[in-house]
Amino acid sequence: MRRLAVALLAVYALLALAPAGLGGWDRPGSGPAFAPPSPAHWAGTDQVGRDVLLGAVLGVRTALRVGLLAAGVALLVGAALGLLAGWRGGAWDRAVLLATTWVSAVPSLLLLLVLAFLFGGGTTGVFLAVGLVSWVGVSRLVRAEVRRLRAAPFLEAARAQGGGGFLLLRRHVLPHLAPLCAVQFALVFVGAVKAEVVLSFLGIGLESAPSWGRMIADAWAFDDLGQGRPWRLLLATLFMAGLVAALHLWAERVDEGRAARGEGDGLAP
Amino acid sequence: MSRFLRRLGETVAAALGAFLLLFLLLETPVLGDPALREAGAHAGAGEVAAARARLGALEDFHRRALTLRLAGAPARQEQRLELRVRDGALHLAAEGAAGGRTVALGERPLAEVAAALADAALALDPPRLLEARAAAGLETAPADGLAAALDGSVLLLPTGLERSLPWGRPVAAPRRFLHRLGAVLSGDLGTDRDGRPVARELLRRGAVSLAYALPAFVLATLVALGLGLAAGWRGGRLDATLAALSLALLSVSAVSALLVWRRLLTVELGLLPLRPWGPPRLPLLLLPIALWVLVAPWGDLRLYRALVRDRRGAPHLRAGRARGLSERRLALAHLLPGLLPTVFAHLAHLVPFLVFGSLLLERLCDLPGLGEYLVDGLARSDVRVLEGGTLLAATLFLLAQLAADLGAALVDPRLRSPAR
Repeated sequence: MRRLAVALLAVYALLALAPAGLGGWDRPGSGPAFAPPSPAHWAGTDQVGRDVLLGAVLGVRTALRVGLLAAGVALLVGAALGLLAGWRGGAWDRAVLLATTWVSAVPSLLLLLVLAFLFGGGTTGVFLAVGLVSWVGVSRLVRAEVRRLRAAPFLEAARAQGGGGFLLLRRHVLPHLAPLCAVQFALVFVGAVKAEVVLSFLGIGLESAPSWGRMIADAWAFDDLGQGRPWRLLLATLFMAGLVAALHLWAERVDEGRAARGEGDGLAP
Repeated sequence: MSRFLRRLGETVAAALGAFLLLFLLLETPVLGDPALREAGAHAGAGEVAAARARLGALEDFHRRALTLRLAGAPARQEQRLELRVRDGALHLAAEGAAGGRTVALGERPLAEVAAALADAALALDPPRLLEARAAAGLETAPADGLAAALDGSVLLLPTGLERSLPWGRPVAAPRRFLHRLGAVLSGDLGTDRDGRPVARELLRRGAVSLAYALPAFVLATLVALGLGLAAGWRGGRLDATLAALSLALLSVSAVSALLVWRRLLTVELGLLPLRPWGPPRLPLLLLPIALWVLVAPWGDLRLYRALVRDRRGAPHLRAGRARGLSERRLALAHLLPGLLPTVFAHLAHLVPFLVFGSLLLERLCDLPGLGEYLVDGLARSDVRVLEGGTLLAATLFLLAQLAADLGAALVDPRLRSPAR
């Protein structure tokens, strides 16, 4: 299963290399609008005559960009603050906890809407909004893990041998955080890809970049289902579902591996 | 009791923090000038100033504090004067031309600034005759009120036309925050773009959202809990099927799933009506309920399934099985109660959406609920609606968490009294 997930992710990474202007996608009006599927356009065309299949393929790059950046922001902020709070403790811990309480007091979907609105939509708006909403969970988990590790016997041993703070952190704490961070990275990634669709549907998503959210929102706006042309909705949904499922599966396997190893490394829960 | 009071204190503190966060984001220039957002991209300087006053950044606001009139030949293009307000000073120049004159504002009375402006216009090249006059009663008001209302604006003054400059006393952010906090605590969330009180509108629309969301929430929770329990407890083929199915359904975007189910239920199968909101309203609530139950439970199901699998081998369950208790009794009377605190805590996260419905659902089903109000406010950049709605959601969220904690203490005696 894990191999399948990795293979699927590799395919997506390859698709993301497709150049943005492939097949004249960025030149609307070059073909007939709402053409049915044909050898020239396997899934038909959209309201301005762009190839639907091509749009879904080009959407891969947008999705990966939004997901990677959002997960990057969430992980950077969350892991840094969680590490700070868990490792240093004291006033740092209290300050980070306070910030997480405030941010998590606002339901995440609403905070996401407010932030996307403030950032004015667009790719930057979407990934920043998702990242700034999602760091809280990452920070909580990292903090808890770091606190657990700090009390672990092997860390005590390393400390007794005279290891300094930075060395301990780099050699003994960060490697243990890697699987946790990988799982969180995948989950925020998924969240960002899904959020882009919701934001596009609500009218504050990406404007011009080819994206699955835009395609789904357009499918609704132009009543694709009612007009008997489900291709756009179907393709955008399938492309997105493949990516989301692959990330989910991969995260689940990493998580299981972590749980399995957790018994053997002297870290009683 | 002391534990309850401490939790209550934490809840209040978190609510205050959430409000401060929203205030910082929406009403201070942390992420862009809120007055520009409120007034819209194409608003003139006067509208932006009015928006500042509406947002509470200016008090004692006057739309026409200083009246200016450029005398001379009628409406010739090159005769227009450009007024720029920047860094606490008013800069006067011929339109598009470099140079010009600067009049400092500061604490000087408006009447004095008016005279200085007329002098500055006379000193331009070529000289202009500018009539400037402070509004009655505002002659002695400090001129930095102009700067507060107009900072960063550019105004054009054509010949022969009267132009008025707004004035207001700036309100420092901390004091604004306290004002807003007082207003919010007394139930005043301000008015939306149509002039309706946001608080009343939230209540009215909340009732619509609640009417479908409550039954849907209960049903979806029962479905998720029932299937999760069955899958996790029984294992085997049922478990594998449900695990794969729920992963597949979770991977599909909720928007796509809702679009397809909506089409299926209304048009293809003709089971449910699809028409604009109006009496009789009851049948119209069935579609969002059905959609919710079809789309919402899959993530929860996975969570409950994982919980059950985690606890399946617990010692007390093994003991019960050894004594010959039936599987059903073990699952319902011995496993389920232990899960409830976690389930409650999870459900508390979903409570805001009880009232907000699903933002997507209300758009899809054309329901005038809270979610639609919020999305509408978003489209119209209505800060008060966004703030009020988010604040309501945050309050509900925190109250639900409090209730979940208390509920957990009710079903789990270990949480009731601190460790002895």
